[in-house]
Amino acid sequence: MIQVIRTVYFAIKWSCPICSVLLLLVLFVRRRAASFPILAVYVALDAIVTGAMSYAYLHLRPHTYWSTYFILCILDQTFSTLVVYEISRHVFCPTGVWARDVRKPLIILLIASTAVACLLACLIHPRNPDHFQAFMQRISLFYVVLTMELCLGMTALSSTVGLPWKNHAARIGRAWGVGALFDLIMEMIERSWPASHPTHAFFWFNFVGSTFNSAFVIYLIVVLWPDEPAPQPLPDHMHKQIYTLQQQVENDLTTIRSWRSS
Amino acid sequence: MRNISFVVLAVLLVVALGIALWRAHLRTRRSADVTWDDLLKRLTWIDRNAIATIALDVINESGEPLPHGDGFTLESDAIWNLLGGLDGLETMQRNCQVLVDLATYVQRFHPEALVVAENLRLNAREIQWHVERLRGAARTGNLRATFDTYAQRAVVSYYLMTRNVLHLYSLFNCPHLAELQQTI
Repeated sequence: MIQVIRTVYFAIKWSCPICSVLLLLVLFVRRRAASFPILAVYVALDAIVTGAMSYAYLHLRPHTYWSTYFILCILDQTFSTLVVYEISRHVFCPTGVWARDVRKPLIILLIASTAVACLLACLIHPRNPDHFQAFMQRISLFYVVLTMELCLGMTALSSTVGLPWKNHAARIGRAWGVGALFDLIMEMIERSWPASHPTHAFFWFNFVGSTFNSAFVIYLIVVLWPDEPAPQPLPDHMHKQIYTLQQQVENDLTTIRSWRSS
Repeated sequence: MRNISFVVLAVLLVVALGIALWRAHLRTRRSADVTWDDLLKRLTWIDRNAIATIALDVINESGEPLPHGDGFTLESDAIWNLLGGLDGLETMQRNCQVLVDLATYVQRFHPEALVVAENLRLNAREIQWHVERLRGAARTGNLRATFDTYAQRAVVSYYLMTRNVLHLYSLFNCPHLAELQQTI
C-alpha cells in the first residue's frame, strides 16, 4: 500500500512541470499571453524552476540545494504577487486608467495586507535552525498571506464599487486566492503538527501540496482554453439612454462641484 | 507559543476574509441574473415633492442656481423632516446603488459602451458618497454642521439625477415611466 502511495506521489510530482508547460502552450496558442503577460512569465519561470531544481537535487549538496530552492521560490512568489497586480488592472482599470473611486481603497488594502502579512511572517517559529532558510520561510509566508489578502480583498472591493470581473481574470483571480489560502492552511497545519514524526508528516504535506499544485494548473488550463463569452450587442435605445443619462449626470455634478468650491 | 499565536491569528484572518468574500459573493449573485428592467424596478419610492422642495430652495426649475441671497432659506430641521430622517437618506442611498448597478450591468454585458457606463458609475458613486456622509453625520449628531456646508447640495444632485432618469424614460417612451414617476 505504501509503495502504491509513493508511486502515485512521484507520478503527481513529475506531472507538475509537464502541466506547467501545457499551461504555457495554452497561454500562447490561445493568445492569452497578450492579455496576461506576467502570468505567462510566471508560468514559464515555474516550469524552468521545477525542472532546474529536479536536476539540482541530484547534483548539489543539500545545503546549496535548499538555499537555491528558497531563493528561486522567492522569485517565483514575487511573480505570483505581480500576477495579482495584473488581475487588478483588468478589473479596476476598465477604461485604461485606475478608476478614481478605487484608488484610495486599494492603497488601504495594500498597506493593511502588507502589515498583516508582516505580522504573520514574524510570528512563525521556523523549525529549521539555519538563519538564512528560516528567513526565506518567513518571506515565503509573507508572499502567501499577501497574495491571499489581495485576491480576496479585491473580490470584495469590486463587488462594493460595482466593477464586474471579466471571465478569464475572474477565474485566474479565484485560482490565485484559493491557491494562497490553501498554502496558508497547509502552513497552519504544519505549525500545529506534533514534531514527533517529522519525516512521516513531511511526506504527507508534500503529497497533498503536489496534488493541489497539479489540480491548480489543470484548472487554469481548462478555464483559459475556451474564449470569453461574446459580448451582447447593446440595443440602440439602451445605448441612447445610457449615453444621455451619463451626459446629464456629468453636467449636474460639474455644477455641484463648482458650488462646493465656491 | 509563537506558533500558537500564528495559528490563532491566521485562523482569524481566514474567517474574516471568508465572511467578506461570502458577502461579496451574495451581492454579486443578486445582481448577476437581473435584467435592465429588473434593476429599474428596484428603485424605491421616495417623496419626490419633498426632494423637489429642498432642491428648489437652491436651484430653479431648469437646474440653474438661484441668484445670490435668494436660496438656502430652508432651516436644517425643515430639510431633515422633508427628507424623512434617516429612512429617507437610506432610500436615497439605495436608489444611488441602483444607478451603480445599471452601470455595472452595461459594463458586464455590453463592453462597447464601457466608457459611458464607467463615467455613469463614477458619477453615481460620487452622489452615493455625498449621501453616505450625510448618514454618517446623522449618526454622530453632526448633521446640523454638515447641512450648513453641503448637505442640501447633495440632495440637489440626487434630485437632478432622478429628474434626468425620468426625462430619459419619457424621451424613449419607456413602459415603466408611470411607475418610475411615482417611485423616484
